[in-house]
Order: sequence, then structure tokens, then C-alpha cells
Amino acid sequence: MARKDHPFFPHHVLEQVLQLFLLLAVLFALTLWRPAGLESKADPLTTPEHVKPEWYFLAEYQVLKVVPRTVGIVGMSLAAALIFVFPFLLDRDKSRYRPLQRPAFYFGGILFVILYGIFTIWGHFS
Amino acid sequence: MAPERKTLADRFVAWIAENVNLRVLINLFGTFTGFLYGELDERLELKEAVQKQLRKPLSGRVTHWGGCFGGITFLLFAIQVVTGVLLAIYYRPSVESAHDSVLFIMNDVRYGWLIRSIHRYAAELMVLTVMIHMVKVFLSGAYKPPRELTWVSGVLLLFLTLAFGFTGYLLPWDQRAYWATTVGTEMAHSVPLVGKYLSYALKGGDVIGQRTLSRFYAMHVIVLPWVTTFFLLSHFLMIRRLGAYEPL
Repeated sequence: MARKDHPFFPHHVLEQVLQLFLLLAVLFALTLWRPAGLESKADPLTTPEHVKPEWYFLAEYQVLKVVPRTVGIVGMSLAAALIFVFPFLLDRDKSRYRPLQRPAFYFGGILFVILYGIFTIWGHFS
Repeated sequence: MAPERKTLADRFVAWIAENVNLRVLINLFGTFTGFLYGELDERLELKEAVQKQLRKPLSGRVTHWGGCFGGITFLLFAIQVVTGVLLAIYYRPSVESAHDSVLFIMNDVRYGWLIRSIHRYAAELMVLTVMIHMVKVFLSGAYKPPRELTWVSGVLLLFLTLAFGFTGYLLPWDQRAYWATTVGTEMAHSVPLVGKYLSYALKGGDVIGQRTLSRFYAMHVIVLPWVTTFFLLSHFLMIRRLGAYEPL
């Protein structure tokens, strides 16, 4: 599917410039809607009522809350290691790209994303 | 082959191609700046090499709208570098003055509030886009041979992005920063066997204090940017050589 009529320059570079300006527009809009806040200076002696990590760590945070800590940590570390190296071990058949030709990976991936989302939302409201 | 869909970007590029004679522009640019690199070019033939790289056609995947999240993540990284350097000019990484310096950036530095807010939002968007990029790559099976190492470098870049988020979050030294880092280091503490040492190494001691701030700052502005740059380059080089995947 390499499009011979689509060289890096100028076509792709122009697209990237367009994306950059759209991105800056989004960032400006977010900033004007709600500029980055700053709470009072850190005080090790006063614990705030609600202590939570950033949204992108919420899923892991919630997993550690509902399963025993050691199990959760070991499990997630193994999962991370698996994500790292699995292309060398699994799903290497180059004749199967379509979703239904590799259902375990396709639907497994979707399931993982859904679970991650559920745990993030759960972590947000718990 | 599916019929090509004209995206907004496609139409924009077509408009430029129709209305601007880029080749003439590039030649004029070369003519007017040639004296700057002419001596080098005579010896190293830079112009030829650069033109060859610039003209290389790209895989359809990279240019498809759904394939733009990797590129957007890179653009966000570039924005982070620029705004991060600007913030580092005014930020002071010490327990006594970090909070004050951030207040100063927000209230007194001209457009400081804008730069810091963009840095904050771009950081969160970057995590989001790198995750979307990874999910899309996974679902399309683009990691299959010979592109396993492209995947590995991509996962490393995801972890580096998260490390950026974790270390950067402490720097304003406000209540939220301090206690979020407390939660993070407690998570590290519950790693079996090495957890105690890991959390000690993260904090630089038994409590979160000046040493924690110093090492998070050093990681955030020196170590992580260079490591990330290295893996970005290898990620892009591999994509150049191996292409993004070609579905059957």
C-alpha cells in the first residue's frame, strides 16, 4: 500500500505541520478553558482527604486496591514483560492480519482495553 | 485495494501542490543559502543524500488518518521539549523555592501561565495518544516479523512517557504533587523482595524530600529526554527501513 505519490516531503511534512497547528489550537483551548492549577505548598504533616495518582496510573492503582498487593504487582510486572517480548513468541504468522484470522489477539486486545477503561473509571470514582 | 479516501490533509496538500510551485521554492532556497553549506556539500554530497531521504515515499499506513497518533505523539514530545526548556529557565528545583518559582511562572512571568499549562496538557495528551497508537498497532498486528523490534522500542517509549509523567508530577511541589508521589513510591514499596530498596532509591532516603525532588528533576530534564530521543530515533529509523506494515 505504499503510495508512490506520497513522499515524505512535501506531502507528509505538510500534514504534520497541519497536525501541529490543530494540536496547538487544542492545547490553547484547554489552557483557556482551565489553566494548570497549583495547590498549596507541600506539607508532609497534612494528608489531604483524597490522595490519588494521575488518571493514567489509576487503573494500576485500582487493581492494587482490589487484589492482594504482592499478587497485583507481580501480575502487572509479568503483564508488562509479556507486552514487551510477545512479538518474538506469539502471533508471528504473517499470513494472518485480519481480526477473524487472529481472534484471540484481536478480541483479547479489545477486552484488555475495556478492562483498563473500567478500572480507570472505577479508580476515579472509588 | 480500497478506494482512497480524501482526508482534509490530502485536500490541503493537493491545494498547496496546485497553488505553490514547491520545486521552484526549494531551488531558490538552495540558491540563496548555498554559500553556507557549499563547501561541505562539495565534500560530503549532503544535498543528494537529503533529497533522497525527503523524496522517499511513505507507507500508506503512516499517512492514513488512523495512523496519525504516532506522529502526533512525536509532535507533542517536540512541544514538551520547547515548553520544558522555557519552564526550566524559571523553575528552581529546591524544596524551599520550587513552589514559589512555579507561582512566579504562573503569576509574573509573561505568558508563563500559558507555557506551563501547555506543558501540563500536552503531557496528558501525550500519554493518551501513545496509548491509542499502541492499541491501534496491536489490533492491526503491525508487530509481526520483521517489525518486532519496532514494537519493543515503542513499548519502551510508552514506559518512558509514563516515567516523564511520574517524575514531572512532583516538580511543582504542591500538596497534590507530594501525595501523588507518596502513593507512587508506596506502590514501588510493595514490589516483592526489592520493593524496599526500590522505594528507597526513588526517594533518595526514607522520606520524600530534597533528594527526591533533585533526582526526579535530574531524571525529568536530563536522563529521560536523551533516552527518549535515542529510542525515538531508533523507532523512526526502523519504520523507515522496514516500513509500517503492509496488510494483505
